[in-house]
Amino acid sequence: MTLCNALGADLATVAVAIENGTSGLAPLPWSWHPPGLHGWCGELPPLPASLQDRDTRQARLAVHTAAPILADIERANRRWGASRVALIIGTSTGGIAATEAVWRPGVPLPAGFDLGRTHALQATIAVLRAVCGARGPGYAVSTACSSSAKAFGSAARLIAAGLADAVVVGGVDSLCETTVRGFAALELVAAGGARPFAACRGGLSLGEGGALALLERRGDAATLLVACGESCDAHHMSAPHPEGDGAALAMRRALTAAGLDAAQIGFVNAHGTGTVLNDRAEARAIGRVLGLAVPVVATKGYTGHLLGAAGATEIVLTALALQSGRLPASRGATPVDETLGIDVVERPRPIDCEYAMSTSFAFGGSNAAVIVGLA
Amino acid sequence: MSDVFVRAAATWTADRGAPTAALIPAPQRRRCSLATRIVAEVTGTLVDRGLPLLDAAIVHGTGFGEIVTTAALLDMMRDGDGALSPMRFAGSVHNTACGQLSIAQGHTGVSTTISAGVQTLAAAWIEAMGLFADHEHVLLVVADEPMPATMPPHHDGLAVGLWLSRNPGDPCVARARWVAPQRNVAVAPRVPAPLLHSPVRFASSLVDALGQSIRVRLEPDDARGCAASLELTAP
Repeated sequence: MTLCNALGADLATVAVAIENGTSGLAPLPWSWHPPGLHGWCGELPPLPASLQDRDTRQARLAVHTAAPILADIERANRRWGASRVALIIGTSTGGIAATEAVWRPGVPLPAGFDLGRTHALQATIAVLRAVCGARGPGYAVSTACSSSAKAFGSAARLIAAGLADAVVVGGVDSLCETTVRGFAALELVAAGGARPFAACRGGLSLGEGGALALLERRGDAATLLVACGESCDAHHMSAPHPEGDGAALAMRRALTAAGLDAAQIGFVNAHGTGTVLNDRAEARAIGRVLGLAVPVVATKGYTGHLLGAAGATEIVLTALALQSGRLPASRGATPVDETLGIDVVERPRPIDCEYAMSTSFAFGGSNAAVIVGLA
Repeated sequence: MSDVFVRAAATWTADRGAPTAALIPAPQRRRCSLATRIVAEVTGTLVDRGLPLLDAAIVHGTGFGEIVTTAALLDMMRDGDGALSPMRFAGSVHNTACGQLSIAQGHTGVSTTISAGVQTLAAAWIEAMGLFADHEHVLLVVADEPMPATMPPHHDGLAVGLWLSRNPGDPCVARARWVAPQRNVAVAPRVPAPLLHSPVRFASSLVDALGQSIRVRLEPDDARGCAASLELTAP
């Protein structure tokens, strides 16, 4: 597994940054001075010459994210046969930034601008397929901010159904004007940066990047994907159910699918966006399903909210904490909102458990809870 | 790979007139895009034929999603002060149709939206097969609304809904067996000119083939000359 975000482009670099309490949030270096602080990955290496017609920021992030695990994927291609290695990627923005760059109201896109190779979601799949050589089923899961968590559910089902033996799974999303202006219009951007679960939290920070994992039918990995629970809120397009009903349902379904009791979940890596309503609804759901004593970590204070890549990023961070036996501090959470009643991890602490849960919630009321465990 | 049974199918194309999308109450429907209403339209037809929607997992496949709303947001960004409509922004995500359906019908089960360009139909079928481990019924809907004039090439709108089950005892219009991508699976279907550029264009020919014993393609040839297909058997 690997990840790429404002903190770095590989697992070790990101882990060290989080251990040191470093934030990747900063003002965006864009000419129109977007509000808030966000997790920008800076300049990215260009794509190989063979992929020039697909060269978007989204594609660069995808390729940059994948680089550290290409050798592992190549081994999987040899082990299972490339046509048995699938590619399932969560993304919400896709390459829309490329369209933003050339858009003029009322005027057709420039001749030669290929929406399918740039803007559309399959463009991310195509570049990853080209660099990693996987030839099995490939598609994007696009359910807004739960996209890449649900991609893990899809990946597990593909392997269980015998449709693939290995899956390159994860998420990639790039910062773009549409999402920055959109969340600003919803009045959800925190002026001083996201502070999930803090008493004074005032909204979210956005981020960009990716996270990928190689799932295999069997092998010697240190971490297992144990179960994924999914649900819909059936409540509102952009606000969570106030009692966290849909979130709680996804968490219960994950426990049921895993055959675990709530007490066996050692900690939760929360969705924790930093908005008043989301954090409150999520805290209610955690308290109802897992109890108020379970340690809760939120990592968006480091990376920003990676939208379609958030779930995968946080599943990887959950696996990292399980393996290291050490929970990171929830950056920005102090002083914690005591009315939430949950145990928010404010300083790094040791943890000794076999299982942990990562939660993701999205526009449209789309929820996913993923349980990972030590092998 | 065991068989999947197509209990019923429904199609919406522009020549059928504006979708009524009766599954979504009028006040909510007025805020819904065509991309969402055509998904609700074919779903409504299948519900009328007995689909137990609340028990079904939903797989929604789309190439471009809420592309008209996206184009409107791009216009807003480049006009005036660049401010966006918060409601239209929240409705621009690919899973808007699933979200609106779940709100309208109280569907709290598994529902997902996937996208894979011209392979969207094949990918949606694969996703549906994975869901049969936990579900007796799967609603598969592939849909793309017409492309805005500013985003050529144009294609017309198309939505196809399939009510799928794994129970051989149920009445069905076709039995379908997945065939992994291979060469020379079948002749590519004739696609009507207005749908030639639609990512989900092969879905209409799949519906036309239901009831026959025939091999049908789910996607165009890939770079290796291979395509996924379904082996259909008449019930």
